[in-house]
Amino acid sequence: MHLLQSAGLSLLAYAGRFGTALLDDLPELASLVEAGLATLDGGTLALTEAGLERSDAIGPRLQAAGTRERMRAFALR
Amino acid sequence: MNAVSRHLDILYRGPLASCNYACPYCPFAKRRDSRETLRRDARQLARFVDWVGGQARRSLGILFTPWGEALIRPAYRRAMAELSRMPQVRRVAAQTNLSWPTGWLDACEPSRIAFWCTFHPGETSLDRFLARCAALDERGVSYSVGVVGKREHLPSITALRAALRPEIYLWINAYRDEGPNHYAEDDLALLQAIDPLFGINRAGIRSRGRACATGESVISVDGDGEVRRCHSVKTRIGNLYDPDFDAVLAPRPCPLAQCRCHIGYAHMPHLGFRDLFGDGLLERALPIRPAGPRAASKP
Repeated sequence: MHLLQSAGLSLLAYAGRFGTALLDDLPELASLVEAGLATLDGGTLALTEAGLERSDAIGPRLQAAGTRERMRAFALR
Repeated sequence: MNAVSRHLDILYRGPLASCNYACPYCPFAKRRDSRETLRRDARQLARFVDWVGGQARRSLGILFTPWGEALIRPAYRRAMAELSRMPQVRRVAAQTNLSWPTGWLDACEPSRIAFWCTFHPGETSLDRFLARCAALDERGVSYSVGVVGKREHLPSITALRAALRPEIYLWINAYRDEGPNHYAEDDLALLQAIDPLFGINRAGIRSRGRACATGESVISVDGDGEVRRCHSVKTRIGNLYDPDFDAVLAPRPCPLAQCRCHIGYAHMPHLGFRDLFGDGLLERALPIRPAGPRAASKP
């Protein structure tokens, strides 16, 4: 179950795992569809070819600001 | 305004509130309607069917959501059969306990009739219920099966899941009357494993201010034709039988804090339920997909 792989992310599998709705938790994913970077078809959100080309940027965009900051500040000890 | 290509889904609920079942959690258990109420219900239903018959310029989906059980009444069977044969009706579905003989389905167009079937443990046997499901299967009729998720029902729900065709979606409605502590952790895990959408039903969707198709392309209609955006929002927005009824259909953000019912949140576009359920959205049936996962992702 991974948005950044070509098989895409099943809305049902996400709901089954987390008990919530993917697009309710991460409404910004809908903007990927609007931008032509993903399609929602038959209950699966999958990146288009253009989306896959940009998948290295899409992943980090989904990180919450707090998480990003913690990742930045993280130092191996 | 271009009404030619417009589609309208109607959630119809007449005055009928009687039921042949006696579920202890239901306010309509074994309730009886007076003859006058039944006559009025049948009269209003006939008017509704006539109205649909005159709608040549739009396509329609209809879901009967009676307070009680409607399909023990011949008037509802006739109405569903007639509606299913109208070319403008894409889908006519009903919430039902499936407690009726299935012969009348022969008069229906099987590809357009559908059922939202609730199994009521204690009111009927699993075998009897499954035999009715098999009769729907024989005809190629779309349906979902579900249960009110009371803790006491867990063994029945497990047995139902094991016996039901694996392709048939089994929904579980969260039981709320005993508060949020009704379920133990293990119960929740079990219910969630059976119905991946159970958690959403239990928590509800924070809906206030969100876009929802109700009031625009989905409406709730009562026996008098009074139109509300959905069953949960009591504000009347118009009457189906007014000649200029279409003028009331407009986008309206949800005014309620929470939506906790499939027939409501299914129509919130941001959740993608229309895509997920496809043609089975009204009867709450997930599409039966061809064998094997769609994404053949094995390396």
